[in-house]
Amino acid sequence: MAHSTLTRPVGAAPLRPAKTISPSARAWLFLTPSMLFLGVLIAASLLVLRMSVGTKGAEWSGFSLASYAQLLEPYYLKSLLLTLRLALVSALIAVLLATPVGYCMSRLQSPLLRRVFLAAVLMPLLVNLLLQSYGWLVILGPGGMLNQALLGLGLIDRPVMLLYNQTGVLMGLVQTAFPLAVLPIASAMRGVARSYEEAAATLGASRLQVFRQVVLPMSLPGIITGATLVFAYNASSFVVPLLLGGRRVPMLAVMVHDQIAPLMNWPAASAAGVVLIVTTLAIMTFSEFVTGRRRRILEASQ
Amino acid sequence: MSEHDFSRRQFIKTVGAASVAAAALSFPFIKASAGDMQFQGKTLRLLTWSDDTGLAALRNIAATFEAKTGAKVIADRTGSTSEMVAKLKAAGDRPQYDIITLAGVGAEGLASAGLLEKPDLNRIPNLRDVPAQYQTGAGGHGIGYLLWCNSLIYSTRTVTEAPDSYAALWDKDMAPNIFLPPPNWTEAMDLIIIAAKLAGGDEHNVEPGFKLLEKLKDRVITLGENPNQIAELFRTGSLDMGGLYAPAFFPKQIRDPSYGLGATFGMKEGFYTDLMLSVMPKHRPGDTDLAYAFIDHSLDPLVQGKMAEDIFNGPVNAKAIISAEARKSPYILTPEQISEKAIMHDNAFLATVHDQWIRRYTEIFSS
Amino acid sequence: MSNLLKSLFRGAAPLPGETGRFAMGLSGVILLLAVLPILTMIVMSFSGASNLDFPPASYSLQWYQAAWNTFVSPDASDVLSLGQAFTTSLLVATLSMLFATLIAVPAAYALVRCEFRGKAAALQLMSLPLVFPMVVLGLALLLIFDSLPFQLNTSRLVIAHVILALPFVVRNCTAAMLSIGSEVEEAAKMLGASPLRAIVDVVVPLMRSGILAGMLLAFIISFNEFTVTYFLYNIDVMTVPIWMYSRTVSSLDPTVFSFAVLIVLIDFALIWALEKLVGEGGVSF
Repeated sequence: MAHSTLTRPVGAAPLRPAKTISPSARAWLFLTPSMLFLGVLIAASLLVLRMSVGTKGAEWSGFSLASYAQLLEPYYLKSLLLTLRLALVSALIAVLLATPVGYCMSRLQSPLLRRVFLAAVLMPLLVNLLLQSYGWLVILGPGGMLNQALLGLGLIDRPVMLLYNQTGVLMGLVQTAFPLAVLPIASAMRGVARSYEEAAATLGASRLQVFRQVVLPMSLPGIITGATLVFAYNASSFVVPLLLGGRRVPMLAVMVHDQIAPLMNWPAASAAGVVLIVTTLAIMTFSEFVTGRRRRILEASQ
Repeated sequence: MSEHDFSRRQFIKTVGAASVAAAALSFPFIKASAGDMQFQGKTLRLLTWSDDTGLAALRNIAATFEAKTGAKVIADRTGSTSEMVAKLKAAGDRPQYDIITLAGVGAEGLASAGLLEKPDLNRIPNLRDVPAQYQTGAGGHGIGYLLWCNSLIYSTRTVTEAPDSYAALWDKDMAPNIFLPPPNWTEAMDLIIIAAKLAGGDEHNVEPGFKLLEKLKDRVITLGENPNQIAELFRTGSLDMGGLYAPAFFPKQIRDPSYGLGATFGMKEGFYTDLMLSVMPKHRPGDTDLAYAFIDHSLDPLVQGKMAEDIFNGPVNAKAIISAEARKSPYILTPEQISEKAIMHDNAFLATVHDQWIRRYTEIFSS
Repeated sequence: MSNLLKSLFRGAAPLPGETGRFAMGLSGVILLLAVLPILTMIVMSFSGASNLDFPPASYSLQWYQAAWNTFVSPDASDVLSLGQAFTTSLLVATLSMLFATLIAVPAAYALVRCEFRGKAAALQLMSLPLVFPMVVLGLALLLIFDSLPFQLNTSRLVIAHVILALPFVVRNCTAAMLSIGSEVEEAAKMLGASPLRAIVDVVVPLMRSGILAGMLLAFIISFNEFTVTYFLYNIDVMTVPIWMYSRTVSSLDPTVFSFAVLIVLIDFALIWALEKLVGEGGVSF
């Protein structure tokens, strides 16, 4: 479907297609195929918006802002802040860890090694989180390997609780979203031609200088993409707080779940969902605006 | 002692004879209505739980039903997610199933959305033997199917004697590390009521209960959303006690000594139960006679006894046949024990406080 | 720390532009940590015991045998066999991957290269699926699909999965496109290529690594998606995660781990195939 819209202009006006359509129209033409799918999403969003001002039992006919008013209570505000904080911190950590990995991946020569790296990077996304949580339990649980080792070495008297609290959730958020940070970073760093690095090195820059002053700034778009992806992905995370937080870390998506079932209060769930979506989008836009300006300045100076 | 023994054996005998007679009577009844293997070639679509209870239902109910009637039972075993009820409600008048087994709260949600058919109790002969309070639920839209019975779970390694009161949860020396049910489960609601009662209040005066629960905060390792994780924590010695939680979650682990897992119903305050229901959605795809026959079969005394022995579910049929061997087990509940000590919570009342209680509970145990 | 880093970077001998030994080591450690829970799971799938004791006391292939048995002789009472679920999953994931990529590449081009009215809105829309709480999205999509006058089965899963994968594919494509620079395209145009030719023949091949990354992610996301699929599946069309769910809640035995290992292997095969297919020494990253 997408392909046909992509090639149709060629057949229709093979000589000078650019003159016949304005740039704006051309842009929307390119966006049309994705808009067909996103139309379903828009409909879904409108539906959620409508539900959020309905009342329980009369989602489509009632009208009330009670669900939004309820969100101003400390219970929900605290949860929203916690959610945003965990998502932000996890995004920073993930990007910090993903940068060296992405750099390595972009510079690997051996195809075998590259595939092993890629496979390893993707693994956390591949495996059902429920199953991974047993892995974590075996390693970090109160009776897990790490605690047993520490107890055996006499470093601690009683097991350190690494799961079922915010530490556990943060770790899980970083680990599960890690591939989302690595892939765009690796992709962007690969785009930074090696000749730039060589030029910088010829001019006497150390490897770290080359990395910090050439590779890093030039791959900034990828790094920002990675960070925003992780942030957004984790802001709506549900399974991680459920399985690694022992349900003691009340992130907003967990509460949305409670409202959908067992409470069956769809307006409340929708309103909380809307607030979560709007806040996350606003933060993403803001960060992209700020970094986008920096990037443009950077590009202009090059 | 011997007299007691005798009377018990006598009782079993009587019950056994009665149920055999009932089975013999009910079989010709089905025959009389439409002949042998009446449902040959027909299909029943069942939505049931994905846990061991669902699995046992396939073994003990669906398989025997197929053998008896010639019908084919197709089972979807993804019914235990909390999203299931939401999905059924959203699907509205396009149900995919003939029968759904679910908890009372879920059934009430579906019934209030007008999605369930009110079954005709006269078409379910086995209901005669079910005590009135277990016959129906969700305003008559659901037929009692089994009792989900909640116990205190404890580590047989560190807790040497089965606790005889819920107060044991607050005993720091007896059980340093505990787990509690997650806030979205009805078990948590029951725990709140228990705490309130221990603190001198009741379900209409729960504030003392919340105060008492706060004292548990530092000792709570996790709010057990996932039974297998809980079993693992017991196996590795990280938990000493917890509840309310049904031993029906752990039929295998309880029988495996390497888990050191015990469960008790012997609390002096009684034990809390949740009536699980079979419901029939409106506009179902399959045959109505078949659906009634299946519900009736699930209440058969033999089937009910088998389910109790197999996975520790409480039978609703007062004539459920439970072997003498099984009666010795602390996990297998008999109809007599149920009639003595089971406390059924009031779903209608809980619905009015559910939202607030979930919040309080979540807040108390947030790390 | 910075000095240490510096000396380590200097200490490594290779040419600039190649990976230093330190960076390699660091990445290795980070990756190892990220896959640690999965590695323990893989080890446990070879366990000879019936519980999750780690490290296992003995090793055997018993769980793989059990997994194989469920595959070849499914329970008669199951709605669908694993084989059927597997076929559905592969079909849905492949279609979602293709559609998502085909629509994301032109979209990424428009978002990066063109200035137009409504760009900000389009950008927001592309991120929307990412920030939607899954359970709300699943519910809303079900309500929409059910309100349609006709019944969709497999296709509604594909539509949902394309929507879910789109942000990832679009972002990977835009990141790749941003680092190309518009001069390449202009050079092609100066040499006489039509704008569209310039895109298809010059820009898209240069974006290949980003596109590939997006394709992989789309496939993986579709193949492993649970929550939204849970709302949209029906008794005749079921995917592997749904099938797995109905198995893992009861009786957690290492059989499910061996299933997961099989899924990991499938994804590896996919990575390998994609690299081969695109050629040039398997350029993916």
